Amino acid sequence: MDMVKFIRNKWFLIGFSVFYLGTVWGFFRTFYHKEILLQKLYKGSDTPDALQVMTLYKKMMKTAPKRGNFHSFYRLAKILARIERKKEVIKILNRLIKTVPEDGELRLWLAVELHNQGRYREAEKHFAALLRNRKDASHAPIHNSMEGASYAQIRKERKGQ
Amino acid sequence: MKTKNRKYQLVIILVLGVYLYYLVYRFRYTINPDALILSLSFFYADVHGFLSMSLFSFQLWNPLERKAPPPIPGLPVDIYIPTYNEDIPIIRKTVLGCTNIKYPHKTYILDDGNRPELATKAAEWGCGYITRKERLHAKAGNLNNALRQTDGEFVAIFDTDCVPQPDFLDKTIGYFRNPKLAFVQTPHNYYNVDSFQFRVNTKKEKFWIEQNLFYRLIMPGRDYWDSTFFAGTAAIFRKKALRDVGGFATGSITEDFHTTINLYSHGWKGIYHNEVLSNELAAKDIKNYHVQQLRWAEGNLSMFFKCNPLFKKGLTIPQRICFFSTIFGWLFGFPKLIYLITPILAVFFGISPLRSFDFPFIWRCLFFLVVLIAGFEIVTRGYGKIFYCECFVTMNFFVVMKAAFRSILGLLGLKSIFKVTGKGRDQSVRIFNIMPQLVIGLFCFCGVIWGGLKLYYEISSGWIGNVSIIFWNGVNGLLIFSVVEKITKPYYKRKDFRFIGAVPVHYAVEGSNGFPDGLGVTRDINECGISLITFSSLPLDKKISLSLYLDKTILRCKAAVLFTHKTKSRGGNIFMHGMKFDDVSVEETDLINLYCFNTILPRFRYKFGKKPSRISRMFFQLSGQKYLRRHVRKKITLPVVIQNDDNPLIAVTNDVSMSGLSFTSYVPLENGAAVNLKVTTPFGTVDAEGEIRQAREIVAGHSYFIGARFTKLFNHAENILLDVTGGK
Repeated sequence: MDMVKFIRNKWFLIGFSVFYLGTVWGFFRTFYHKEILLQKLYKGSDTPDALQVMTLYKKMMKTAPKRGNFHSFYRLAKILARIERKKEVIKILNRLIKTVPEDGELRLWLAVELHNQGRYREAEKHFAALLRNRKDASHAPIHNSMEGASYAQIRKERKGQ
Repeated sequence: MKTKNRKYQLVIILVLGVYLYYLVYRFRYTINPDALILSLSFFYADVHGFLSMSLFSFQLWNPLERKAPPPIPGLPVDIYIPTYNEDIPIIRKTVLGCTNIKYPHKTYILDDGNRPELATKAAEWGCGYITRKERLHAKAGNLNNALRQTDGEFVAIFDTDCVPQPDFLDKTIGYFRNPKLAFVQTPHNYYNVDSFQFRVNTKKEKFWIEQNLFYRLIMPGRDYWDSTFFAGTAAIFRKKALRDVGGFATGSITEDFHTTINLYSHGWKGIYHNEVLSNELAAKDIKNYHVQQLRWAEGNLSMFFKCNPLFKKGLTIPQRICFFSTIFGWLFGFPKLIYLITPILAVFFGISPLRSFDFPFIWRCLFFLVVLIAGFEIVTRGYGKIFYCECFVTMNFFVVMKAAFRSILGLLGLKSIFKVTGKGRDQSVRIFNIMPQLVIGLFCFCGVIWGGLKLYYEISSGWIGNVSIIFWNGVNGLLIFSVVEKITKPYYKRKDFRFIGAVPVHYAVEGSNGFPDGLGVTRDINECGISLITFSSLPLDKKISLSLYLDKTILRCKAAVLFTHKTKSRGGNIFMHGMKFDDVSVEETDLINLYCFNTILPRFRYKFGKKPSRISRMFFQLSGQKYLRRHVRKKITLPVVIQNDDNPLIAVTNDVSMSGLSFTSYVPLENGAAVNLKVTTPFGTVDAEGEIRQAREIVAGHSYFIGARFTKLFNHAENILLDVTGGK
């Protein structure tokens, strides 16, 4: 059989394209199963199924977050926050902040969560880090709004203790 | 220094400056420590590109335009046609070209195939025949064997498929007034435009072939640095110089490059005469093309180890740079592979070749690419088209990588084999020939889909990076698609190439009163047949008497119609007939062949020749150089009879308008001369009186572009012209 003639055949090309797209799509779904589920849970308006989220959480925590999959972990944290799993949120944020220490928004979120959980010493460390980076223009809105007030509150509460 | 080249030199400096800035930026800010190997490989590819561009620019610094000195009469010249296993009809054409060279000479066929039938033919054709028992050192050995047996002081070499023009020696022998001159090289001009290597646009009347960039621009550029090299064929040598270096070099499979280095290192000189004086066949199919590329790449790369121009004694610094660039140029496979696989790795494994695809990088990269592409288009003066060049690099990267490894293995004792490039009937492409491209292409398209899905599901951070990688994969995929599409495209399987050219033909159907006779025009022609365009149909079962107006000669013959194709244009019928000649004698075959090579090809080159790209035209306009458009009228080829004296001239129009027409004539006509014109069209015959307004020589000696204005239109000529031109 003349393979070259065959690969130029219109029907072969249509059939192959469909097969090719299907295969790539299938592989993608298998490979990024967790991420696709995460996106579904994240975008859904209903409260996520806690069991499903926790299963996903356990699976994802087996791997360390990288810059490349930062978004997936961030989303998981958001979903966990929606089902009030604060400890797990803090765990994820602690890991994420090691990967992207320069992310002020993430650090602020972690600091606030720690503060809300009454883990002031840990929270103070992050608020202090945020204040150190105050000159960074990209963090300015965060600093100007919540951070100062939260930090002041911590100091006040610690004095009270 | 010529001022003409100064603006190109400015562009070269600008491009290299921007390239250098980009590289410094890349090194300082974009190396990704998280994927160091990939990032450094990518950076190496960029550095390689810069080196290539620098060497390329060096060679293009000031291309020379030489004017042929008058010939020296009475020098003894031998012409060699080395052959091994090529078809005899192909050899016949070359012999015909050689024997028609005007300057006195002797022609020899050097047959390494030791074929008795060729020996008989050589005697019949009036050439010498030299053969040998052992095929030692391939082509170089064959030439050296002949050098010992012939007595001419000068030797011109033509490969089996390389047909010289009659003025080849007249244009080159004059240079040998310089006693230190060893050889004169002329361009390789490929004529079989049905080869996959050509990009032909018949509507816009332009064609492109990769090798023209080298032969029409780089070689004249190297001539400036006194670094022209012998390119295997279409060259003439001083035998004394060859003797001085021990004949053609036998230590490598690229005897031409090796011999050149030997000659220069012994103090001899070479000259490049940038005028097409011969025509040869380009490899028709990918298999033979890759055989040729592999041999050139392996041979040239192995020179780095065998006869390194950087260390060879007796060479000047520019010569070292130019010869080194010949070797370095064949390493393009490695950076190309990196450019092809980097975005695939990035999209599938999430590893980035750059620290970040941020805006500061993107704008610098885009600026760099725009300057590089525009700069390349400008400095290559219409011979380099970035997309086509990239397609060829993509087509060949695997072969040249293979050649690089083979040349390294050559150090360990692997023997290189001189494989002759097949130039005859094309061989069918096998899927194996394009497997690396197919595999990478599939991954590239997969990368586009994969990246798109990642973007949709917001899986990876940084959409700019993701979009850039998808785009990169898409560009690579399209390049590969274009390569595969071109390689696998089915062509009409004609054994012998037909020359594209319009020849006026008078036709008459034998023994039939029902069919009218008349004038038609060929679309293509060779010694076996023609494609004839007429405005009335011809029968398939009758013999047709043809008179082909080959300028001064009228060739009368009979032909059979093999097929007819009818089209309609603005209500007029146009018939295209595929015709095969019947019983054409050897003399008539030779006449057609000579006309094709010596008249049709130069006219084709003039018509379809180099046309600057849009970017180049813009540049020309900005720099105040006028770019003349040749045609503003409607391009229609119609037979026209021009009567100004007693002898009518039959020609074919180039273009027609309501006010006049132009045609190509083999005799010059005087400006202002009054002529009677009779143009045959699908709507009837236009009878008119006209005046010659323009007459210029387009091919030396035999082709003139004539522009005529209608002064008086007879009968219904105006209505017919309205139909023909659509009122333009």
